[in-house]
Amino acid sequence: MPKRNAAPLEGEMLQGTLDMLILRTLALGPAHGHTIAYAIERGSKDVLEVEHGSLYPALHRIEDRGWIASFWGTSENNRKARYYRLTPSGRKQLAAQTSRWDELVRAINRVLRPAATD
Amino acid sequence: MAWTRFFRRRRWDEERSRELEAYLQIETDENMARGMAAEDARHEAHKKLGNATRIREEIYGMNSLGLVETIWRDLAYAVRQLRRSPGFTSAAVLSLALGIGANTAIFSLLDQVLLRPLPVRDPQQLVLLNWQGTFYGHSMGEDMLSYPLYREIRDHNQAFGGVLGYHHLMFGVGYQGEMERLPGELVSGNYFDVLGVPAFLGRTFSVHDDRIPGGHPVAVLTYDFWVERFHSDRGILGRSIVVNGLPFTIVGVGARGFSGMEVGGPVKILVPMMMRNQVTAESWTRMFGLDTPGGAWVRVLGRLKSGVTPMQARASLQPLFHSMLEREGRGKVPATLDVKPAARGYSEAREEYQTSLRVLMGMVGLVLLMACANVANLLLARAAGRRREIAVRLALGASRARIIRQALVESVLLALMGGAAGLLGAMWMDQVLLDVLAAGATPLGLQATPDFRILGFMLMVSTIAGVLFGLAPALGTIRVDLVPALKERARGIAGVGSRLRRGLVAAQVLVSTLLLIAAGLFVRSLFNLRTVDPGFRTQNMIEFSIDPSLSGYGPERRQRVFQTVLEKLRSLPGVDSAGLGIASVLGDSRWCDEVTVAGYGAQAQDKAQDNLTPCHNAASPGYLATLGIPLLAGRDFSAADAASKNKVALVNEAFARRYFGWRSPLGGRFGFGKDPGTKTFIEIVGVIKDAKYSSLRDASPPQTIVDYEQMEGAIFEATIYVRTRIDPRQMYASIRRAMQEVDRGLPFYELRTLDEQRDLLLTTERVVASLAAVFGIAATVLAAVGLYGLMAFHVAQRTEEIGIRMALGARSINVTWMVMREVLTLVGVGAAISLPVSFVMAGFVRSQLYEIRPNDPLTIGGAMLLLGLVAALAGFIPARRAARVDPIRALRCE
Repeated sequence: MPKRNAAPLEGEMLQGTLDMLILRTLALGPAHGHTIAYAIERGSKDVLEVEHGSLYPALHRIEDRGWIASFWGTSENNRKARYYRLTPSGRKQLAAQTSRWDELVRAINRVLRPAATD
Repeated sequence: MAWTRFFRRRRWDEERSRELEAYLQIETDENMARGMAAEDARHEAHKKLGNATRIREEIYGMNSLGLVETIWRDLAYAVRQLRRSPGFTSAAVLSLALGIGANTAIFSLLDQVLLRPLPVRDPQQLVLLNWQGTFYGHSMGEDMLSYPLYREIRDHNQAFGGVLGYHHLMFGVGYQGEMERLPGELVSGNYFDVLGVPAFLGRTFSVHDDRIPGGHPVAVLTYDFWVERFHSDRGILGRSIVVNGLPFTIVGVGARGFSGMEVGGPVKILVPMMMRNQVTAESWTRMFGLDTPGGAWVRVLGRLKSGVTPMQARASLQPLFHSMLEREGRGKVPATLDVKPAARGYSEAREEYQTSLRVLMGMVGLVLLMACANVANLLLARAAGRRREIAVRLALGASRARIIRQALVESVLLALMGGAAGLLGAMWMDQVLLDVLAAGATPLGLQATPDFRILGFMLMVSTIAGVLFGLAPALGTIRVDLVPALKERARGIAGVGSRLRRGLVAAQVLVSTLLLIAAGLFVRSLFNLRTVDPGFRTQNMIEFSIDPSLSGYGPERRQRVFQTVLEKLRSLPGVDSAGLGIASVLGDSRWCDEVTVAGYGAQAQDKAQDNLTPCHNAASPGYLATLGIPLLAGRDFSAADAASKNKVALVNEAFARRYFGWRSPLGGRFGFGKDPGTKTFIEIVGVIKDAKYSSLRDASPPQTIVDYEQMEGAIFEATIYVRTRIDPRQMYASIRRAMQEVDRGLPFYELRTLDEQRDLLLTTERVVASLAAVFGIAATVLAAVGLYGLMAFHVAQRTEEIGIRMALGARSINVTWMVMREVLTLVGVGAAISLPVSFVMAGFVRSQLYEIRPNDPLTIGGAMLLLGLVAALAGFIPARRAARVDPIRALRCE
């Protein structure tokens, strides 16, 4: 049986980063799993290569926390698909995670490039 | 994680596969739009998504509750496993049910009789005061003091926060014209305060209710009586209730759960001690009055002040005690006032059944051990048989912790099933036991509900046993090297387990032999007691008791009632003769007191070999003839004695032997009591044969019988004996009618045949013997199951070997013998060890036996023979099966 919090993405991604990316994608409007996967892939200019399947456990986990909600809808090409949308608490969560992420990046940058202080 | 999702996770899983399918379809559509062939498009979509099953599993795992989930699965697996082997399961569950049920039943009763404290405040502070050493005066029973002595201790002691006194007795209680004979207590005014028992309704007594003799006609009911008889009517306060012919005002109802001081004799009504003279017969108030020194009738309990030990209390009481004796003119008496713990109240049942219950407790404990041994044995066999299964599971990647957990779950499940079955068994057994114990007698006030603490304890013991023996083999098997275990052809048994199992079976044989021997001894004692000649004829005899004092009758009227009753009964068709005595034979009403015999010195008495206190009776003319006690010399009472001033008595052989030696006692004189200056005013006119009066076990004590007509109305209660010419049971109706004709308001009770009374007297022995027999048989069955299980398993293990032997020419008789030899060795070893052990154990049960020695060869031989036969049968079935092994099939099957 696979472990509970197995790394959701290929490569070494920080814990919770995928969650943040999903929330960010959904901030633009409701979407189904397929759209979200491609949105992340394209948004990162194909740097973050997502194994699309691993998105689903993450979706499930985030929904469980109440940050997103789901409903069945019809896709652009007329297929039934499960759509996700951001909940108010998810919106708050996205803001908090984004600012924490920014802080983190700044901190790491200060360590890596001490000369280029801001 | 939402709990609800845990239970809906199957639906969730479906939902997820639909979602993943949707992804695949969209991706396939897009791939086809990019120009791929349908098949390739689908394939690429799958590649893009990854392993769908793994994803679903991951999500499923997120929805599960880890430990709960796996334990649930273990449980389901265990249930499946147990259902697959119903023989094993039912044997184990039945063994446990037997052990747990029997133990819970016995200990629940034992707890009520022996262990449970009174429902009062700080019961451990209560002590009972009793007289130790030479006793002067008269006593109405064990552990009693006189009222003046009680009053002295109550008012002048230093050690107690309070000292209460009570007297337990039967009252004739009348309410709205209906009359019942009920147990009650005469209590001191401070009784409820010292005990710390509040009123449920109204009030209890205070010291102000117990000041003036005869001045406080007030009564408190116990809670149970109020509920039963008055249906919890709150309007009962202030109403009148008749106690022994006198109206009392009900002032309160005691706290729930409180029913007096005596365990096993729950009281219904309590009245102040100052009312003693009003509710009891006058003669008793002369000998056992409120101001009579030396007439002991009060049970006295003190509540120790905090920080005072019983030893300190005892020491501080002695000066008080001796100055009191001196004031009463008794001088220096070699006696002390002892204190003993009384947290559990006073119980005659406790004194009476104590030893028997302890013996039963020991026996039932052994049965539990046997049951545990059986379960252990079965589990060991099972574990040995499942070595390969466990190896397969390990090879398939099950973790060792998981395997052990599985074994634990199975053991606990078994124990729980056994416990549940045991609970039902315990309820049933307690009811049966109480029915037997209380058959015809006054109810003991014991509950048949099994105690859940005890059940819990038993469950724990058996679970621990199950876990221990379930776990040990599990630990053994997981250390197994997988490869050889999987390759193993014969599902061989581990050597250690096998030796352990043999040991267990031998121990079972040992224990069940012991229990069978004990059962045999008890059953034969009972038989001896049933057939011993009591010295009078019990056949065709009816007895019943009347107590005109409960109706408030005075001495003359009582005498008249007795006379009329006897005359009426004698005139009935079918009646041979009738007589009465105040002490009942084979019953518990006794009148025993020291005597002073003219011409017999106290020095001589102290030198006497036996120091049994003489017992007395007052009887009517015709009493001897009715009971069939032979008159050896002299004469019976006559009508002339009633009018004569010369008091006369009959004595038995034991009395004559002790006080007169070889001389004839006829014409000798004696008096009651041992005080110096006692008048020897009673003349001996006849000698009767020794008879077993109150106990069938003990030798007859010296006995006197005085003429009841010369007692000047001192008799208030008597047992009537009627010898019938026809079956006594057919006489009940006409006796009832006759009693109605004599006096409607006269309660008569305990109407039964003397044969029934004799059985009643042997209740304890009967209970012990029948339970011992049940335990013995249960143990034998358990041992047989254990033995059968072991041998059946052995034979199954060795099928291949037996096949080879038979192929090489062994005959079926050889194979049978090969198995039987092992059976007989085990039985022989167990039985051989049981012999010396039984000699050691015999000491504990000696006091319970009658006219049989604990090492009675017949009993021991019989027990061993029975066990040997059962064991041989249990072993013979697998032996036969071994002999029927078809060598071809046995060899081919591997």
